[in-house]
Amino acid sequence: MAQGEDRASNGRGAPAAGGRGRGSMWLLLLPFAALLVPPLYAHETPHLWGIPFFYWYQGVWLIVTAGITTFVYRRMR
Amino acid sequence: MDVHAVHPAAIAVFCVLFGIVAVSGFFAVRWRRADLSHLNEWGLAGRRFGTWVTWFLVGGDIYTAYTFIAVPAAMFSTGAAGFFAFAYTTLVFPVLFVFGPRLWAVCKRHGYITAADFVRGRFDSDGLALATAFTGILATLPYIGLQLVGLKTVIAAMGISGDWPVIIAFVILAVYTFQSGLRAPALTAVIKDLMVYVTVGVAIVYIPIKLGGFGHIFGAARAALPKAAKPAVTVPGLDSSYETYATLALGSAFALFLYPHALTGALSADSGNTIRRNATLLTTYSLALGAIAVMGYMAIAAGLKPATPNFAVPDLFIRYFPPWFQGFGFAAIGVGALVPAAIMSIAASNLFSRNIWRAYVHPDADDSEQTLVAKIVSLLVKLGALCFALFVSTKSAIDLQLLGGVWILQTLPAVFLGLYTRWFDRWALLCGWAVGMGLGTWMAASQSFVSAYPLHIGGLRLTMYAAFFAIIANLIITCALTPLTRRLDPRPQTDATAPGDYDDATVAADGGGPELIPA
Repeated sequence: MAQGEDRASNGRGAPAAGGRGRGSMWLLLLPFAALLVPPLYAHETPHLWGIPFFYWYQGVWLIVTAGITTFVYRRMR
Repeated sequence: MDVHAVHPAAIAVFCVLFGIVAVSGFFAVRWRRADLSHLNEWGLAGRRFGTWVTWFLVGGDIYTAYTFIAVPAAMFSTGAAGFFAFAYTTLVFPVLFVFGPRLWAVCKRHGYITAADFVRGRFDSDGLALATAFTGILATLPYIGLQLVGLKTVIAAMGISGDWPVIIAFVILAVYTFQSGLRAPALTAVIKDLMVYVTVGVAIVYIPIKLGGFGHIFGAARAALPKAAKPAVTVPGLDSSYETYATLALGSAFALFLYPHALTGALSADSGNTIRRNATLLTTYSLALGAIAVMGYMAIAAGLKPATPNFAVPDLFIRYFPPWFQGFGFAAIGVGALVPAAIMSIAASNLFSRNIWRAYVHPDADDSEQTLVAKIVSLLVKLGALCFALFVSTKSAIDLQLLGGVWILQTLPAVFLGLYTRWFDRWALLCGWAVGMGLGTWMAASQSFVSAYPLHIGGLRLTMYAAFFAIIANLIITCALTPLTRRLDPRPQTDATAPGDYDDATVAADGGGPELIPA
């Protein structure tokens, strides 16, 4: 059968018990709150390396979002 | 800059790299060798891709030739409004993190290959599955066509005119996709992304040094954009609409993983945790996207006058890079067209084979017949996209791609919300979908295909992404009609899925049910 040789799981230890760490998933709403209200960050200053606030604020939130997904993933694992 | 000179060195480097990619596309059939007459193998590569391959594959989906050309073009001509693409590619990862593993789990358990398979099992409705499949195919076709636009742009930038290079490239692509299935774009995505990251890395360091730093680049854009034929700004002020920016980012973030090609990338992962890890790791692509977006401003600061905004980045490379590195960068963009085009055509053919051919044409189709149909359709899809790119104007291609985003978002209630609840009635979902499709199309068309629609409510004017209005209408209709249509159609709705099927840890522990052809 096609799926016969499936590596049935992630192969990294026992799977998480259903629902563990699910509460931390609410943190994933933070990037939406931060990025979907442009008046919060549509400003020219302060500059960072000559880059207007509007741009580097969104860049910082990309990194924060990556941090949040990492944190939530670790809590759920 | 209107007429591009012929650069033999650039063309030579381009051809060599393109050749390497084509050969690895054919070679991919031997990678993780399996029986490719199973649709699960041809169309999803056996769902065995781990974290790294998934990273390259899904990255290839998000980060296409068209992105490389269109995002800087938008920054070049519309300023800050074009930067929503960055906010969107940030928000798409929490969406993937939440919905991806759930969809992966239920699809693995039941052997579903497409989102429409899931909808059919969950809501017991061939009609709703057909609507989902039809929307997916319809939204994907112009997207493939736009990959060709990206390819045509870089080929033209090297001074080669005519359609024959695009035709040759697509014939190669069609043949290796037919033969190797999803393995081909996965393997070529690795090569493509290495090239892209090198190009972006060099461009984002070297060109700003030449231009006198980021302060100067943003300063030049700030000075030049308000004086353009269509005035624009680098930082949205009171006169520009914040709600357009926010709804474009939100709508696009939810739309991306409803597209068949993005779902195919996620479903071919080997576990839900692979998808979660990727929701973190894929953010590196967004960083690169931000850098590419700023190249639009670099073109302004360099004083370039490209023939069309699409040439902003190619002309920037020609100005600052030696010919051989131009060829390298153009090959990165050109191969960046092939990877997503392959995934998109595979995803569209999976939909056709599973949810149209088997559901309506030949219900007895076994697995190998479904695979053969999908392979043939993948050729037809690419032929269609080629005709599309050669005979339809670039403007219409972009308009249709915009509509594609509006359309695909209308499958959200059945696919994403369906992962959490089956309260919705199938007929209500179908009505909501129809209203959303109609309203969204009308709104976009009435504005001669710009993405934002100005809605007047009393004295208030809200200029928002047409897809956003359409999905609100869709949800209202779906919720309002559900109690009604349930009474009108008393036939039982059998849910083929069980609550435990949605937990990826449980599914991974039990192994998937190899139920490839559900009864």
